[in-house]
Amino acid sequence: MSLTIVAIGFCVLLAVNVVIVLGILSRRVATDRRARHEQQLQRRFSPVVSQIMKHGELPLEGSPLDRMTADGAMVIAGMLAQYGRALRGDARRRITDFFAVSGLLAQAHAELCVRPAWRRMRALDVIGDIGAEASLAAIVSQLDSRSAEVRHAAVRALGRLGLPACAVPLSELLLGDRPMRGIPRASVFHALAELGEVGSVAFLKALASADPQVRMLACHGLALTQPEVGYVIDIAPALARRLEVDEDPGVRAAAADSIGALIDARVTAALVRSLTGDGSALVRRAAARALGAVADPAGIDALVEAMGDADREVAIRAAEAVALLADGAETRDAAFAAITPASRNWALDRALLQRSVAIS
Amino acid sequence: MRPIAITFSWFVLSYFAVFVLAHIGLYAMSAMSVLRASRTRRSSDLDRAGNSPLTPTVSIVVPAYNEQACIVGSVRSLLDLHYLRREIVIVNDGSSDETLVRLHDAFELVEVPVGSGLPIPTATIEALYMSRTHPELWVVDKLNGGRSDAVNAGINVARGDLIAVTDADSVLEPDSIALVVQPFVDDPGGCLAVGGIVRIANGSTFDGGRLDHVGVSRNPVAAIQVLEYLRGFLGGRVAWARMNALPIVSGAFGVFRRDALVQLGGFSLTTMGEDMEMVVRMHHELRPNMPDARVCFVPEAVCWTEAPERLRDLRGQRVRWHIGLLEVLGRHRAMMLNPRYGLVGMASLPFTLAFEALGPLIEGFGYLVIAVSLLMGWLNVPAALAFVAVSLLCGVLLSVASLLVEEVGFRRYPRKRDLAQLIGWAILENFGYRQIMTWWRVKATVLTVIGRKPGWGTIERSTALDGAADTRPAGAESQAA
Repeated sequence: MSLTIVAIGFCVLLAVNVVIVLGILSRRVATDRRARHEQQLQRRFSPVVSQIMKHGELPLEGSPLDRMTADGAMVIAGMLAQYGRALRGDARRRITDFFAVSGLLAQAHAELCVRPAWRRMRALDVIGDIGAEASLAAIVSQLDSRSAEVRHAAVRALGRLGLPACAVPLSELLLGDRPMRGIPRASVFHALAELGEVGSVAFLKALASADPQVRMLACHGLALTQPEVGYVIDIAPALARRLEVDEDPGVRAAAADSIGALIDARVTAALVRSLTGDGSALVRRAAARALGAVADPAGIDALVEAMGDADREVAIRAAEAVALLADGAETRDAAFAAITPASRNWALDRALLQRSVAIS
Repeated sequence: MRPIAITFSWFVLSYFAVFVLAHIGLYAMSAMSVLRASRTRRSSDLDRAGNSPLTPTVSIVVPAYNEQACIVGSVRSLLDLHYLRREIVIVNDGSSDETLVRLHDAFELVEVPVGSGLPIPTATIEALYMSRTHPELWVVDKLNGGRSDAVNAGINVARGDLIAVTDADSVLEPDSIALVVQPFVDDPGGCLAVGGIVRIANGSTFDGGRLDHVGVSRNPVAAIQVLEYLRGFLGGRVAWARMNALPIVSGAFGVFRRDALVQLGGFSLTTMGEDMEMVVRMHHELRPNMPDARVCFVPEAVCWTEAPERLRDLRGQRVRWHIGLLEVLGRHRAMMLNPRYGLVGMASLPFTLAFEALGPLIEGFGYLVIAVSLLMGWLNVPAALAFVAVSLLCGVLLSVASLLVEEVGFRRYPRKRDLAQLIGWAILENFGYRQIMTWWRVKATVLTVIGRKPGWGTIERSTALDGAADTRPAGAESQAA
């Protein structure tokens, strides 16, 4: 009995081993062949892609695109989409138009209906990079896909598409009105950030979310989109309010970080209050760095005091901020006036040394 | 005695069946995960992550003990990493050679105050230096305290949100940090630690601290270790990470949240498996209060390390590893089969105990029982031979399955000759090498039971990574206790 069982096991294992070894070898052969084929296609289509980039369009008849296989279509789509990813304005629009006229866009859309998730993901990446307005509905429909990876790719594609209308589903995801179902929040954040001004409107709304993670992302997002917004939306006071009233230290720290990125001296008082009074070292660290970046003389006394903070990182960051201000033309006098022999400590010595090394 | 031998043979048969089924399940899960990742890899994700405000700062901590031969090359290779928000902290752990002098000469070190408020107690830090030529490079000079103590000193002075730990005699690929940080970007606050894959450098060529060409060593001991590492990383860790039950992140290349390391008091000084101990402690002490926290594995992020090429060196390494494993399992035995710790308590730790800690004992005892039964005439010889053949085929199966995962997902060995060599070793390692491993691990178990720890020994290195042969304490676990 036992001999029979073991013999059967032996045969099964032997067969499985042979199949796996054959699988490895055949995979190697197939991969080599596919790589060679793709290289050939890329060589063949490179001049065509250059021509499209230069002149915007190409007569299809008689060109290498005329009798293109499905593989060829995806290769040229990938090559053009790479340009599309890096370009803005007219150049990108030319690529978008070419995709629509040549039928490549329709082929990429057709890929969204196939069963393998990886092919739909690849198509979504290409469609996002193409940037055609007509793709919006198709991409949004993939947010309900059963595959988490496809949903994730759809979020990326919405960011790349760059249309104001993309902000609606992305904002719904960030705020929890649409289930995330495995999509990383950071991806939604990055996609919204790619939308610029409309993204910042969504971030501003997200500051009021009940979820601290969302509020934290909103703070970072506002700092990231701010240069494109200019003064249309006044972000700094909203962030200062988060810094002072939010119950979550991670959100307060993110607000301080973002204020530092905005370099808006109107909120120095809020930063000083956080540096001297916040119970969380995380927030005090961010506030110290932000005060250095804002470079407002009104923050120097608080920074000098924070050089003696019990938290090592707060002390180091405060000292670095003081050293930075001691180098600034407008803040130098105030900084040296604030540094007394009693307040001078290891953190300041270290920061001054670091600064001199960095300058030298 | 005969009924006992028969009962044991049935036990071994059942154990084997469970072993094979469990591993097939893990490998299948790994293969699917790797295949999906390979089809959807996008370089633009890395570019975007580098510019995001969510991208954390990383402190790369490198403990160094008598690494004069390779330390400068190692630092230069770290300075070349494609990750902007990083600092490098080299910890000279009381080296008796010229490690510190070479760093001074190469990077123009300037002493800065160490200051107060260091969160983890360590052996005395004698000086802290920064580099004039590379302000992101820091060097800690401290009294000797062992690898864990050196890493803890690095954590103390490090300022990054994340701590990446690697060895002075390992080489990180340029994108490795950007890749390994990705789970922290995707899930800010939720990811506790991430490991990358460690690959064997023997047989590959390096130029100026950068990988030039991948190959497999002609040395059988080194070549078989390629298979062992593939089995360990691609067979097991990918799947456990997918289930969020990964019990280990390699000491040669792991990234941890600094606040979590500080909260846990740093790496343990009293175990030989400090890397596994830290990850299991994270699961033990942090995860019950952080149900969504994750320990991840990124197989695309690669660290190249040199493997011992002599059996004598390998023996010391493996005995220490196995003692470390047993120490960790013993220390955290309260987690075993405890649903409070999720799949770590219910699956990965019991799996590790059953197949990695006790496996060598059962296998060794099996060889003994077969020999005794043969001598006593209790054994059905055809059945015994068939069983031995099955066990050998199981060994081959695990190796070729991991090679398949490697071929599907990464294809890092482009030469067909290397692939054929690895397939050959997948078969041959079962005749002798595997039995030697079993014997060493049985020996390690006995040493653990009687409370004896081996000395540290030295490993003779080949020239693969640093261009100069030298003799120094063995890699990751090399430093004086």
